[in-house]
Amino acid sequence: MTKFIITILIFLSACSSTPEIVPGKGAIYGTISAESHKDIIAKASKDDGSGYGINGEVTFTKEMVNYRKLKELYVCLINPYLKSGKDHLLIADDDKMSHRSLAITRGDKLWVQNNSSKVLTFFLAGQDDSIQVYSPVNPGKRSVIEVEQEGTLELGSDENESLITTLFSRAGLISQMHSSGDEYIFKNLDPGQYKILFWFWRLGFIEKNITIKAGENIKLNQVLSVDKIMANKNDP
Amino acid sequence: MFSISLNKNKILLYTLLFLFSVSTLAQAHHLNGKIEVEGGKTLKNLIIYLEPADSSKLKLEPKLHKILQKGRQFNPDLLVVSPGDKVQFLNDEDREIDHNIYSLSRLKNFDLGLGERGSVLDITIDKNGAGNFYCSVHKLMEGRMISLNTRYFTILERPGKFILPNIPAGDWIVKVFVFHRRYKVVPVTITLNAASHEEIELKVVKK
Repeated sequence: MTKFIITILIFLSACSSTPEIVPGKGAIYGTISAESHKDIIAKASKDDGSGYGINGEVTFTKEMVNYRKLKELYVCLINPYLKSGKDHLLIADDDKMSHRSLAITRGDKLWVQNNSSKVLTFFLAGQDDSIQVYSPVNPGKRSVIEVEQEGTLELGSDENESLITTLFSRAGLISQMHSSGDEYIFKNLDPGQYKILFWFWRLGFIEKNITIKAGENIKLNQVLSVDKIMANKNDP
Repeated sequence: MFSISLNKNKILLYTLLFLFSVSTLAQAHHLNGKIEVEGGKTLKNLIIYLEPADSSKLKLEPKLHKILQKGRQFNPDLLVVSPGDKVQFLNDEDREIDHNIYSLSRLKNFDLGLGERGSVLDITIDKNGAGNFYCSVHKLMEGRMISLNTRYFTILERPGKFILPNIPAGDWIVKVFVFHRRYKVVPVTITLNAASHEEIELKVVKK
């Protein structure tokens, strides 16, 4: 009886994470997660009293990056036909931004809400000298620009250097933000060539080419770690 | 007799060394200056540096730099290097703490793997640019590296007066690396010669 219930539960769980097949369309789905460097996991797996390993699992202390609880992991889908113009909202208070990172595309609208106690002048800086400047925003108000740049950008403010958001901008990009271990899904996609990109601002990204076919769903789980990102960079 | 002869040689050697250093110093200059930021803003860590106007005159001997990690902190956490330099990361923690130092910056991509206590791991810088490096284990371990075509630089914690000592005579371009992405400094070309006593003013302006 117990076995039967477990089998039913596994079946239902599998059904819930698999997207429905839509005629003429495709989908990509899976989980996004992050983990420690393979050498750290290897040391933890020896369980030699190193202080951060128990039975092969890394035990995270408050000083450590807890990869199991990492937030702001982005899954991005890139294809020229994907439309830009999406609205994004970042909120600034006196000492930090609501997001440390954001994945966007050229043509998206980037709103900044000033919840700090001072007037703030935000800017969006590119890798070279390119810069877009917001009009000054009074406390309690918000301002917007349309993103014109690509690459790794930085949103900051003239007045407060601790207000920083790192932005990843590519043409034809749509994104979803998740926490480590979450499921993602892009569905109702037109058949064609896409790139899928998994990004965490402090680690970098892993990029893969995928082909979406009509009536086909692709499952792709991805783990982000320093060594995996480095391997992808050397052999993309 | 032997003793006197040795002393004479020593005197001759010291005299030559003295004359050499005097002549070298006579050709070297101190560059004094002041740097201000538009609007009076206090920007942290302004790196003022000189590059020769004629880049073919640039000959930099590779140098070794060391970065310590005690207390889960990079020390220094801001390092100025040049192409060809080696940077050593020393895990000098006083107890068993491991690090994994990496960078995915435009300056240098590296992953040093497991850095156990007592380990010395190194990289060689091969180009100019700037980049951050991190420890993947510890969330507050972050450092910055700037690679410049010069050994003549100074880091100012805040805008104000600066001095760049012992600069050889010649034509130089004064540049400033500004971390705050909203600001820049337009490079200034100067000539240092025997007669000149250079004092310059630099202005950090908004892009």
